Amino acid sequence: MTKRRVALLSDAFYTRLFENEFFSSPVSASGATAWLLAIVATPGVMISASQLYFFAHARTFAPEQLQRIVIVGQSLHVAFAMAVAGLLTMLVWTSLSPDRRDALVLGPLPVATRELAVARLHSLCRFFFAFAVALSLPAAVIFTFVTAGDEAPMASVVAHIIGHAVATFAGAAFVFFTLVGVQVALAALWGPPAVAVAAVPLQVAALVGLVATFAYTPALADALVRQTADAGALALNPAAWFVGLYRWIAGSAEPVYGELAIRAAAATISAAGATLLVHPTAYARCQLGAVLGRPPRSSTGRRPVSRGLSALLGLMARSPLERGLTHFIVSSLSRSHGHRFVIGSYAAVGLLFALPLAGRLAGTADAPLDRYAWFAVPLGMVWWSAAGVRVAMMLPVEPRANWVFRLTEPLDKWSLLSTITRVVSTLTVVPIGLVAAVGAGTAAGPAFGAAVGAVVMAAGLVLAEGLTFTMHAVPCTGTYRPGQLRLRLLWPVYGLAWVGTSNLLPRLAAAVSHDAGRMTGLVLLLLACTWGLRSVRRLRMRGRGELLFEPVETGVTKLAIGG
Amino acid sequence: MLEVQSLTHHYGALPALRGVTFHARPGQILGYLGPNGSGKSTTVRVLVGLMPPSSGDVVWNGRSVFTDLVAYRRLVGYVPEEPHLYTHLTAPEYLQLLAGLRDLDSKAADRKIERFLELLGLADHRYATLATFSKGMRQKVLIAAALLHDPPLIVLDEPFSGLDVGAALMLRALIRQLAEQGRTILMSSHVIEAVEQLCTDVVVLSEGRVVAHDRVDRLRELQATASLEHVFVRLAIRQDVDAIAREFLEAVEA
Repeated sequence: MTKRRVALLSDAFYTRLFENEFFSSPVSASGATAWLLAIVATPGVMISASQLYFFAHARTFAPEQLQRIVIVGQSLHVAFAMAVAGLLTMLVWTSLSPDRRDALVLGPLPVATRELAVARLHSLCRFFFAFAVALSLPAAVIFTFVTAGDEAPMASVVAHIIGHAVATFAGAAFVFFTLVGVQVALAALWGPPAVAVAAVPLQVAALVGLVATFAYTPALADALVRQTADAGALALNPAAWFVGLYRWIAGSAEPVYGELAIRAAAATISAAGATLLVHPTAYARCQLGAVLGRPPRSSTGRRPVSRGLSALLGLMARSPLERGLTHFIVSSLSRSHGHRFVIGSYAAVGLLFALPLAGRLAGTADAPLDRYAWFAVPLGMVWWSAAGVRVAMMLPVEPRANWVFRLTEPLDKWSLLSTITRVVSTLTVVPIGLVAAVGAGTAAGPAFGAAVGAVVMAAGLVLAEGLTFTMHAVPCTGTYRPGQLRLRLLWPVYGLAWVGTSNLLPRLAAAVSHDAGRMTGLVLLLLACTWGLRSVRRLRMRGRGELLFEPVETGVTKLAIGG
Repeated sequence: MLEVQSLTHHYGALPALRGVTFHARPGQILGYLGPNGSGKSTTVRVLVGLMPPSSGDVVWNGRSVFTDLVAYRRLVGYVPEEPHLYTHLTAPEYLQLLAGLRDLDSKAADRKIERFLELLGLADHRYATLATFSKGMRQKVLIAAALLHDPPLIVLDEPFSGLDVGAALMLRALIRQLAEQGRTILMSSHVIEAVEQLCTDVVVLSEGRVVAHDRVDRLRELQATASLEHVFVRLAIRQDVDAIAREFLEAVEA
């Protein structure tokens, strides 16, 4: 094994980590790395800096609360590091194992599989190390100075900085190597098909775990402050292990932190060690699998989700164009890792916002806040999932294949837009509305269930119309880069729509939910908004001449000769 | 000399190769013909060391290549059928990467790469990433990559794919001269005219079996036909192509 070869391969693999749907094709590895590092480092620093006056105030006026507040802050930083590590791992998910291109480019070269595996691991570790340092070190310095105050001895400040950096780094390493390790273990045991099959459940489980980690943070901090939680509850919570490591390195004398720190160290070393150990076997198996290619799938009995959804939506389509577009959009959204990731991330954010209210859904919805929760939770979920589908529709699925749509540009733009709106509604509004209606009906009677379902679906239709109002091209065929001008200009509109959907509308709906007449009026008002938006869009398109393009008969070119 | 001995390979229960045996001598351009699904690509993948066969052996100069696959790969130049490249790299960067992985001296490799790019008409595109290259330009990069280390065994899988007439003629001349200098060349292609003009010998594969392995002129004599295409049709095509075309046309018009 030569260092030169491993270094060359590691560089090539590192760049390949950024070759997926999330990065525009000409992006350089250094550019993408800088972009990611800035995104990763900024929130921790900004949150810490913004709490300067909060901690100063607590030190002066509520010193008895200071320890709890500091532990909450520490827990949040650890949870944030773990969540970011999880999200970044999912961002490069498809680049973690060798694909067909790697196998066919590098396979015939005189390079041993072991060298390839080592280089791949090296590139992964470089990637992890870069973002983990950016994630942990700047926030460690700022957070420690914000929380320490003027009188804190320098040794304690240094210990806290080290504790913060090590705990967040180790927490990120634990998540990163656990996710990679599971993928690697599946590949080693059952080959690449197992990795493909497990990708979605694993990503969903990881997202739910990360959301739960965030949601549990205040309770975790309380348990750590009072140390009343039974040892088992803390011992089974990975976030608690790394907060324990933080506190132990920072010099806290309580034995519970030492025990948690040991768990954190053992978990991180085990996850990293197992991944490093199994990776060469998994790599060799994946490389052979990539050369052989996937066996052709049978035309029936596979891809049940996208086929089922396509069939369902196809029933509602009025023309072959609508059926074709529906099938294309649903297949693109459900089969592309990048698109699923975007939709999943948005749904996870919706879930995160819903969690504080989730406890309110357990009762009989007698209290006003309970009734508000029954409207706010599904409406918030509808907003975030519809926004996720909308954003995913702007990501290209295979830019090189777009010539198909350029050659067969749908002439009937109204059908195109109706199809898009229908897909957004059916994928997000209808299922969430139905679940909410059934849940509310079970909790507080059929009338309330019907009211919740009607409001959620009617508001969802408004959202689907509003979010797709500016769309004019076939989804998943554009070239979208986050941060484009339109998003920068329109973010206040999106913010207002979110507050309106998940806060103002639920308040209004909860207030009138006892009155069937007023509730009907609210639903009709929302439906009228949907109709109004459709009408405005139709007028706008007619004004632009986009409603229906007539094919131009080009005929034979005539040359004007002479006068 | 390259000897392929009783090569068998299965994809699950599906047999792809059934006892494929042939040989190629130094200085020989061996054509490798077969319809889609006949096992050509599988043979090529085994020959270049991308995957092991289910059974059988590949022998190079008296030694099984599977005893030291890495050493064998040093001797092989391979132009793959699909233009798999790292498209974020420029052509010189890609070739430098391969030169590095083949342990070639950096300065000598750089000079060679520069010369290759000039001769292949890619010098003006040296700063463009391969993502912006046309199919023909990518094919030229693959040809350069296959010859960078001056290999004694060259495996070409559809080498003329995407090349313009000038580049294809140049490549034909190059292949001929490479063989004249004693290199062993195996060329798999669907372009029978090119195989007929270039190759001294051909192997015809059908359903994973070798159905013919002889000199081109002798095969024409034996089958009493004027062209290799007719030989190929008789040996490897088991369909009534005219009937299928008629049915297809009916389906188009339906």
